[in-house]
Amino acid sequence: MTTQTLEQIISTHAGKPDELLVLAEQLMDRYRAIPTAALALMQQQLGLTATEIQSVLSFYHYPVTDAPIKCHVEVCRALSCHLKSADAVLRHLCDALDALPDQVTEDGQLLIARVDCLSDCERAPAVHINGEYVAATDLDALVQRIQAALA
Amino acid sequence: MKPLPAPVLTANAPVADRLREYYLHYPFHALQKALALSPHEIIAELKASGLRGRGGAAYPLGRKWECVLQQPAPVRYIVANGEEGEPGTFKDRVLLERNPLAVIEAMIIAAYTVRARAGYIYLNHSYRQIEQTLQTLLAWLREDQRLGNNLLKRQFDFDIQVRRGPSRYLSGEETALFHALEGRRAEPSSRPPYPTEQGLWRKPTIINNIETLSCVALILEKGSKWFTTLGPVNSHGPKLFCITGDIKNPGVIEAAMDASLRDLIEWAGGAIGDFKGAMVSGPSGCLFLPDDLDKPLTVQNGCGNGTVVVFNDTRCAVDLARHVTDFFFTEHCGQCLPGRESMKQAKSLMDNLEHQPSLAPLQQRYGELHTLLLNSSKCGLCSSGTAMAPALMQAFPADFDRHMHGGCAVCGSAV
Repeated sequence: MTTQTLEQIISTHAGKPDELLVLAEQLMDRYRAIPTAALALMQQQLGLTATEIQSVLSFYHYPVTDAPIKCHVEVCRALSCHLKSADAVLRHLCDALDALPDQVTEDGQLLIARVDCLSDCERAPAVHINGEYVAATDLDALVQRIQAALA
Repeated sequence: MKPLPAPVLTANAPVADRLREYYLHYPFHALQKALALSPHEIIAELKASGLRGRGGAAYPLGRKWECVLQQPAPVRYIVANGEEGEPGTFKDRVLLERNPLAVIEAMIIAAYTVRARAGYIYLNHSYRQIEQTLQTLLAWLREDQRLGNNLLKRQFDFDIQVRRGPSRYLSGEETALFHALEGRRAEPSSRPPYPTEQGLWRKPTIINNIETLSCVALILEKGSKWFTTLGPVNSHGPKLFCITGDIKNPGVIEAAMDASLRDLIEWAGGAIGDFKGAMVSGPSGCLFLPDDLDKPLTVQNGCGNGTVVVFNDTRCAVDLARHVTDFFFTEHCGQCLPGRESMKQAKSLMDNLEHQPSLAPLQQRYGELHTLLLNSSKCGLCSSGTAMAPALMQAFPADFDRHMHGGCAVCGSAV
């Protein structure tokens, strides 16, 4: 992640405060988090205050980190997934990968987030790894998949 | 078992891997017919069809479009709501995977009808592939002058942007969605003013669910009379049902709203275990019990968005009530005091259930919170979020009693 790349991405939304969420999603797709270094640039380019930006980012639970996250796991906990043992999936992943739900691991590489809802209810329990659906039928295979993404 | 009607909305296979072919063969019949009509004639046809919104509120579509047309404002917007934040709902994803041009076509028809110049398709956070598909289709439509300036040489300008937003349950509520499109927190606004008067950027806005828009294209293509032949009065047209939970073949089923819950369960291969109940229209909807299995899934019976989550007799109603309460506690926006405080108290009641002497005071207090929210919260989300738990208490008192006296083996809790 270079400042130049960040500047390039953010400058395409210059003067358009209404595109804050578009920009946030763009940063999430690229870095799987909102880089801390982006915040000041967002203020300058979009013409928003730090408070305005933080209030929006925190409302949507965007992770803000110094470095990109290598593996962003989303575990859906909504009703259909709850009935298919989503809680057990979450516990298994957190235990196996020494992570806490909704917290970036100390090495900054992994985030296992609880989300409502991924709209993959017919394939519950739904788990997305870096934006892609992965079947959670074999939990050990799921852990291996995450470890591979972290390698 | 009743035969499953032939699908109309979901007749196509997914189009992503044959997108160009799909685009080139898409007939745009509905648009051609619409362009030969006046805006008032289009609205009359939509009103005659009896189409009601498929997102949950079931507002008559023709009336909504008419309200926007009647506004004196020069700027109007069209918004397609594909947020699908309601747990158990994924029908819009299926429609956008199988026939995205029907949605775009309906948006162009809406723009022509009310003279809107800009439209937005708002997508659920996880619909990345659909976003790419839509962007490709929109680019081709611009090349072919089906979008953009002087559209189809009919002297009106209209273009569509796709926005994929972050995942929050609230974002699906119309006014909250406008705020998300404006780059703000997805907090609902008080009504009035209604979106038809002051919607996106406080301009008159048509906001329709993806499935509703898909029906618009069908009505204009096949006629309102055809549409009224499907389903009962006030619930006309084809309807997508998302059935999940303790069911053998979860997925989307297309039928009409004269289908019963029993039909739906049979079409989905049957329940896993013995049917105990179903949340119809999701956790903010209504509870169907074994006695309701033959009730048609109409708008009047609470089937607004077509979500059906089935649970069997191995499930504890307390676990379900706690889950639903936790969900709304986590997802409520917190902007109004009644919502904030009542959701906190509702969660506390459910968390401390085992300390209650009996079910009656719990029911009474939870009911009071629900009534308070109905009367004083800023929007309807928290009140609808506190309707399911009392319904579960009333339907399954033994489950709650077990938690209060002796513990529950299903949940692994002990007093």
